[in-house]
Amino acid sequence: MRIRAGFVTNSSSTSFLLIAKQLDEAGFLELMGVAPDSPIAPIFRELLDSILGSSEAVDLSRVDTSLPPEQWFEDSRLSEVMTERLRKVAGQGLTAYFGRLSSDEGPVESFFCTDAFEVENERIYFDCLECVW
Amino acid sequence: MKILAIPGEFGLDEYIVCLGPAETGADARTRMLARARVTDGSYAFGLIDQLHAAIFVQSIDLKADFQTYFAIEYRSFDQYLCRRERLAQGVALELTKAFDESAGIYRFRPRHSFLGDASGVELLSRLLGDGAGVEETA
Repeated sequence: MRIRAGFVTNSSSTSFLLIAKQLDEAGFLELMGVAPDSPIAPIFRELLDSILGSSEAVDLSRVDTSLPPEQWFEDSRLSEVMTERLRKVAGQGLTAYFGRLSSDEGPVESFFCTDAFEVENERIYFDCLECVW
Repeated sequence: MKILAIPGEFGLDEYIVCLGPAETGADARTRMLARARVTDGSYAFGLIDQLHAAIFVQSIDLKADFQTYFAIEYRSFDQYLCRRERLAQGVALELTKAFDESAGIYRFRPRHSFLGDASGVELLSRLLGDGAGVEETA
């Protein structure tokens, strides 16, 4: 049982899809547009930790492309945009991370759970559009 | 620039941000973006831009509000702060001292959840401060 004092609301989650050849901190900070010594870099490092901790990673070079992308993950509800993107890159040497950010997991993850965005560079694609807030 | 952290609703801190005497909101934006070290046009750039707008565009400028609308109704700035804005006496006195030296005094209630605790105080200080630091008041 949780006891919460103050503003009470329903908790919620937002699903995300991230596709990269190699996902590391330097690449993720570059994607989000943050210098490593920025005062807001810790926020994005924590976001990356949340992504890695809450997602299922799938090697796209080994998926069965005869199956729909939803079946490449154990538990997924992919959006049309996510499905389309996965079909495009299937078979390539990339890794897809699909997971959920929760509004119950601390202030940083809670903030990104309430935001909807899509960012991409030549190395990483990050879809966080499936936000129901 | 002076920043005060004050207890807000639901256990989340609020901040009072006092611009320097010759500063503008645009000056603050330039400084925030430079200090944040974010890439132009990136997600993080947009985040800092939004934060600037939340503080200096969407928040109430207590000094301007008092001077424009309430200088006659309330005999003094500290009475306006205590009675209308429901700020503690100690905070009101601090802000009254800062009145003449501040181009604007903004009451910022953060919507960004990562600003609602002690780490938020430090972050705002690093983005906005010019070395003056942040004072916390009860």
